[in-house]
Amino acid sequence: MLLSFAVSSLKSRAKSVVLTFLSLLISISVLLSVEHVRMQAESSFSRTVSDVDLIVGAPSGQLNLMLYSIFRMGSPTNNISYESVEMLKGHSQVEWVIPISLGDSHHGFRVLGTSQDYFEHYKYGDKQRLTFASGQPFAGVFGAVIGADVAKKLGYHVGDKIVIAHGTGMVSFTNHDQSPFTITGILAATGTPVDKTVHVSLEGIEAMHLSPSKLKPIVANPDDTSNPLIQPDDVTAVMLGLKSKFATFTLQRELNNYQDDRLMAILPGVAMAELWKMMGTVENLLRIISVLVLVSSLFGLSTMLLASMQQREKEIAVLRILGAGGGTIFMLLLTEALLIAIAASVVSTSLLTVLFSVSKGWLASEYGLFMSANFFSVHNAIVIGAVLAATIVTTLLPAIDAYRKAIHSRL
Amino acid sequence: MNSQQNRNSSVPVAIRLKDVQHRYPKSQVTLSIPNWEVQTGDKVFLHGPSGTGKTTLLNLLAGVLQPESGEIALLDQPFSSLPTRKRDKFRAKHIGVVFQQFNLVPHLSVLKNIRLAAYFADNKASVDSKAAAMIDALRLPSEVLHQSAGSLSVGQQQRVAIARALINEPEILLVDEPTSALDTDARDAFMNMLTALCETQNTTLIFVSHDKSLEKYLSSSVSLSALCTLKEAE
Repeated sequence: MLLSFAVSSLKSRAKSVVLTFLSLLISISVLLSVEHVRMQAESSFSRTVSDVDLIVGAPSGQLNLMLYSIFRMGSPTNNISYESVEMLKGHSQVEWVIPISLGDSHHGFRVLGTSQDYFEHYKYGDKQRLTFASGQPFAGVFGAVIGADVAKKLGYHVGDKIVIAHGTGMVSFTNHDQSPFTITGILAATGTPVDKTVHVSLEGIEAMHLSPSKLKPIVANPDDTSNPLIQPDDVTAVMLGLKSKFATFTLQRELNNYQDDRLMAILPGVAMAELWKMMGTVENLLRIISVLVLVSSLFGLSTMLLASMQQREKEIAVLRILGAGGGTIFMLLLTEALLIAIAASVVSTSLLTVLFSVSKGWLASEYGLFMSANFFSVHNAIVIGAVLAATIVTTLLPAIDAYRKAIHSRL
Repeated sequence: MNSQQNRNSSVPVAIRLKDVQHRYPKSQVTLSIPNWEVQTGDKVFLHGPSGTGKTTLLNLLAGVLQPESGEIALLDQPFSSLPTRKRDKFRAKHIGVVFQQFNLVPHLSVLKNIRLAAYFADNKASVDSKAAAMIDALRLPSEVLHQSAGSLSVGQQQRVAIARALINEPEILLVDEPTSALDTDARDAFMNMLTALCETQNTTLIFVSHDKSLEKYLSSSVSLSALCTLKEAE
């Protein structure tokens, strides 16, 4: 009865109710999408690399090493010698080794020199291996495997020839014109920086930095990777998979104290957590803004109810004379406010679900953002619960006002 | 209906006021009623010019106001001394009220307005059929049940207000200038229907008006000035 009365009363004040509803709808949507994007960003961030136990590079900071080796951001400070890579390959605790060599680019996409092991052992997400949308891993000196984004943006197909520039800028002045690479494979989309990477062999990286005269015999015989001229001297970093996870800390300490080269070993998970902690500040700022937006709309709701009290004095007098106590009037106002807030939450959740379902493909292809469209999570339920609790708190003022007026109303 | 009448006949005095004093807030004026009794089934015409305490008396009888001192007993039970919540419940079950105007919640249908009264009185009886019967007895077309109360004419609204006030078969009906917004013909029809319905339900009626011409519809007449005194405190 109270509910149907509240609905009817809200309908009779449709204009101000609709405006209040819209303002709540917008603020709840902002709050939910900020929370959603934050959670999704965190999970898509931590799914960038999986199952790598240690990353080894030249000593700098663990953030720096992780940013350039995993996220292809920033520039490597120093290289480590190839003897160290050989040492790691032979280490009793090490199961597999992925060497990586950075520093070149192709139309703004980073070029990563690596070995066949990359396609075999690199994992992302929940221990997912890289898969080929078409083609296969590179063989020989001048093979290249490109990420999904690279293929899409530049319109490349397997068999196309590409030129790789020195340096990482969009515009490069020294093109390695003489060392054309052939695309042997295109990777399936992963939603990680792998999609934006051009993978070539370590020998290929060495070859394109040779002088034209030295390069000629190699181009003439591209399947021969044993030429001493193109054997790598150093690499940027190495990703390691260990036979036993328990050896991680022992090996890390061992590598950090390695005498023959200056090495630094980091745990990707630890570095990732540190990086996410830094991003946390921005994230909290977004949260605070969306909470403020919500608070202001809740005050709007409270104002709307307070203002309506004037025009509802007679209605409340009628209810009183029918035997409704002050408590009933109090509950009535609370019910009205909750009805608006619940409606706004439900519509907002459905709206965002539709919005994210529609824009999912576009976000993935344009920005590499892999967003789930599922808004029916426990976390969102908690957020909505908090919104409803805040609604009750802000409605207390008009409800208490109504209660007092009701108690003192006369015929 | 039977139990209602039995209860009424066992309670000869419907309203009893003893040494009731009420002080108006923010002024020194005190309204006092030394002694007043109304028998069950009486139809009392309470008349007097404005400003002589008519509305205050009704508020006291409805339990919206509490007297400063003295005792109001309704149906042989203490009333004014009950806590607020119990007074609200007593009012819902045993007292019907009709105001000058604005008796109904305008955005609800006529039927829902009547149901609301039954809801607050915990009246689980078949309200809908009874409401239809009353609307018929008040010579309103049955369609009005589903029209919103705000869309009716004032005369129709006042008749619906009677139906709403009597739906719980209250022992006491308080009516405050219900015809002031009606023309003469409508007023006569209204008065006839009101008294007829009170007769069938054996309801004690307190009818307040300044219009002496309405006296003829009621069984007894009391002047407010004889009943109560207003005095300024020193």
